[in-house]
Amino acid sequence: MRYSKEYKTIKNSVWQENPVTFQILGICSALAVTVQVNVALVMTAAVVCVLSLSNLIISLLRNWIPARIRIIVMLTIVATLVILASEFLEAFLFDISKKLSIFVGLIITNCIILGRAEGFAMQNPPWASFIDGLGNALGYGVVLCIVAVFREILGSGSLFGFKVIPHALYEAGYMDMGIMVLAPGAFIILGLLIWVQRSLSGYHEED
Amino acid sequence: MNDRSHTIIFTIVICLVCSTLLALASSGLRERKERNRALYVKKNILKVVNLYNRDMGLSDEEVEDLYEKSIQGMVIDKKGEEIKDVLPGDTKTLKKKDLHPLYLHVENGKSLVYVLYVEGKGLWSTVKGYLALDADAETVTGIAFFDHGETPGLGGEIEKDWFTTQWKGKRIFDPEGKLTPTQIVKGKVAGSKYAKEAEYYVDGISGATLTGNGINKFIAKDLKVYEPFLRKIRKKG
Repeated sequence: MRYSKEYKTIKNSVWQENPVTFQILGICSALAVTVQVNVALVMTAAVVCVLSLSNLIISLLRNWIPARIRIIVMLTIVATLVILASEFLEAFLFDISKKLSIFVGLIITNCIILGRAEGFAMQNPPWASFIDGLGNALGYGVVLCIVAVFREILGSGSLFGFKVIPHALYEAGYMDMGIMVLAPGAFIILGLLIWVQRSLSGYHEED
Repeated sequence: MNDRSHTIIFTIVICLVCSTLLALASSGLRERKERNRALYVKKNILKVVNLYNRDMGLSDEEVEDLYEKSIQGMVIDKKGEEIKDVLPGDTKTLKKKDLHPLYLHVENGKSLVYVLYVEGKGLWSTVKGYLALDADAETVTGIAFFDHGETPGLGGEIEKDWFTTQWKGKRIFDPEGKLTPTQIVKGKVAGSKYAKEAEYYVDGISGATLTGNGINKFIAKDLKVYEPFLRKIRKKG
């Protein structure tokens, strides 16, 4: 079976070159918004929209963007998209936007976004850039959601807000792991995840 | 076209397009956002009088109903007199006239809880909240900080349950009848010099002493504003 180029690009940025586990980018928000799965999912959706659109727009404009001011132009475009995303969240998903607090706004400073804009979209045609943005955002989102699943189950005993640990277990003395709700829990999960992902994909850092 | 004018024109066009988009989105979504906000404020008022929590899973309409049924808003002036025919709405315009919103939890015609509006500087931002007092106008039944821009994980902890639940049962008048606004201490109350008078103090948030100081200041200031009104209730009671 032959895979299309798009499929390969997306697979590559989700797996071998995952922005979080391979390039260690976007760690700050990966720690902050992964306490609950539904919050992580909304964050993923926001990043998917912002990153694929910013890549697309920047790639469309790449021949007109003056080289001297390209970074600030990219930032303007990214910031506009992020504010739009945050306005929509406030209007349609108010509770979750409260939980995401400043982290939607901070997508602007997520290194993945500017990295893909400068590193890919400035040199490549629109469709390829769009797919690249989508792939990287999904790569980020997948990690976010995996971390969130572990943190929510271990830290709050629930998944998507529903209790999954049976009541009997609590009566037998089981307790939620408080550390999983806090940032150190995310560090531990993320570290383990990077280890597993790197040993499976056979990536070694050069000395 | 030379390089410089190209740069300038490009900048102007990008700025115009981006700002137009943002203005459109902001005005187009305003109504929805305001509705969400109003509902959120109501939820917080219901929360401080212990009628509502997130786990109840109420729909928006049910929250509105519950609010209509049990909460009455009123406005008082600095002497603690009720201003007739004014309902608490925009707090900014009220503040200019030195008027203050007040919410009552009423059941069968009796006021059970008084909800005061508190607002002031935290560390980075203006913190807004509701402080609820029991019918004796003395015991705190709940507090909610519903709007702030403090650092998540540090000052942002003020909105968390572990912090707000410890306010329950604190007293804002001492036995002699002097106003004693609840104060956030640095560290824990238990085992400190405040332990003997634990009914006036709550535990602080480590790493957020300045947010706590800000809150201490404005809670004290706002309780002074409501003091005449609270004294009246105490006299009646």
